[in-house]
Amino acid sequence: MKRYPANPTRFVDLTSEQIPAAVGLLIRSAIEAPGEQTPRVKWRIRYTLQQRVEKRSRWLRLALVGMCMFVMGGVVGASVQPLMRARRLESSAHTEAPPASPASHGARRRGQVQEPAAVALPVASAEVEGAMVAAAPPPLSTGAATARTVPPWSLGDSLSTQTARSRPSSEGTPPAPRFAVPAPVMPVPRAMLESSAPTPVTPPPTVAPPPTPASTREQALIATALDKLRSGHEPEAALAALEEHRSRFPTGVLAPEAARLRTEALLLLGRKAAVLDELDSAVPSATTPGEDRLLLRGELRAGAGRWRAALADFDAVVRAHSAASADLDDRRSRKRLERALWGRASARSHLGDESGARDDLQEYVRRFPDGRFAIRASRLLEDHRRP
Amino acid sequence: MPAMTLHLLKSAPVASERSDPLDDLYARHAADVKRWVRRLGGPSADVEDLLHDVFVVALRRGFTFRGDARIKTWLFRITHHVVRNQRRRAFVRGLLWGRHREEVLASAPVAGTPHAEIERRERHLRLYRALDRLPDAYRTALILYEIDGLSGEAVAELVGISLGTLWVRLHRGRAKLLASLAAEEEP
Repeated sequence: MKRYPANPTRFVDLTSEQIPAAVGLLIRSAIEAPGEQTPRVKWRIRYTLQQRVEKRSRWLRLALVGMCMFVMGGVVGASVQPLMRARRLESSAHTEAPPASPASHGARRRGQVQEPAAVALPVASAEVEGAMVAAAPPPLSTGAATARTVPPWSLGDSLSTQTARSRPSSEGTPPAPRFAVPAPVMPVPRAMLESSAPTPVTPPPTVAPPPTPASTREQALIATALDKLRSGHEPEAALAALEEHRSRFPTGVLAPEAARLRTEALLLLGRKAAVLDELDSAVPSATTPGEDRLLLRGELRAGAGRWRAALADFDAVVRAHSAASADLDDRRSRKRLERALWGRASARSHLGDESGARDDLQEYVRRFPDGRFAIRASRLLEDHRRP
Repeated sequence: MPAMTLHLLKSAPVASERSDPLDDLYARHAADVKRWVRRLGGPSADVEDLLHDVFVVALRRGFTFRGDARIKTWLFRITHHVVRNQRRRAFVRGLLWGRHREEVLASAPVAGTPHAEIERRERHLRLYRALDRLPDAYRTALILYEIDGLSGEAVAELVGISLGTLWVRLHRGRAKLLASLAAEEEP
């Protein structure tokens, strides 16, 4: 292992025999180099440090202001967003509701709830609608396809289907129809939740009670349910909020709103029996059923085999449109009438009123040649011509 | 003015209550730092600028001083880094703009007779040209030991190496320096 000498003799101390003389001279010239005078250094250092501190504090101040603005913006946004959403929902409900008197409009703006019949629910989300539409059968193309697409609670859609007659009914077994019109399909929540404006079907309220301002807690519960249902897509959570509302505010001014939301939540959960119970037990004065709720109830009753009660609901809707020659230019009105006609034909056929069912089918085909059930109705009419 | 770190103040010798950190540090170590700057930077270094930079860095980065070493050692490390960075910048500047380091020398103060001073400067420049061709570790060890006249122990402590390592660096550095100067003398 190579050893390196410790404390080697410096170049300047070596003789000219040991190293070239020039090297020692070079080193000596470096050692003897004069030092510079630096009188201003201390002042420069102080000045530089001061500048740096000021610059840093300026940036810190700017960053602090920016951060404060960011935080305040976040806080304001977080607090304003629910209010904006509630206002948006309210405005959408207003736009779908029938035009109200200026006085009632003013009362609504003040946060007071109008007559239950005038309270309109917002349109259901597209997701809910999609889910419900998926449950509905597509237009019939063949008999086999029909049998597949009929809802499970349907009694059948052809003459050969005998399950309809064997299905238990709370209203007795009607005579077997010559041909059976398929049971009406479940409606989409959009239609169900549309404005339940006073129609000839619903008895108009006699005297509107003075609007009572809803308590903050009640409003908060309804807002929570709306938020869970529409934004969060959590019908269970919405239902929980609505149950709390029911227990705490059984006669609250927002009870009709809560009832409609509960119906929507139960539908989303697929609890049709519970929906039917809700609709059946609805207090007329509290939740005057609109056409959509009538249709929904009729279709659910038909699904439960309560054909006579279902017929009453469908009949009320159809008569409302016929009597008032409703504005069928309105897409929703057309949809309602289409569903009601199909439902009434179905109910009549299951109750043995073949003539009435045939009339309804003919009316359906005449009014809705491109309707959802037009092909099926035409086929039924062709297959079973009047003798 | 940023406050000196507690470490720095604690490890510093007695200071008056109203003393300023810059005053204390400068009064105690300015001479050493200035000498290191002059030796490490060579004839073309702007001593005042480098001295300024060293103390600014020391006062700004006072919190990095952990108190494990002496303040002198810590200041030498800062000086070493500052001078090395300055040399790198000067090298890059020379490559980009073709500016020679000797041009800076023209503004240095003159001492002694003009002829002797010119000759001394020439030798000075020649020595540092040869030193600059060495690796930085050898260069630093040689400057501190041969030019600054520090003992081996003091150099090892300042540089932060063992004494054995220093002897190795000195041995190899001296050999390289002689070879470099000899190569320069050859036509």
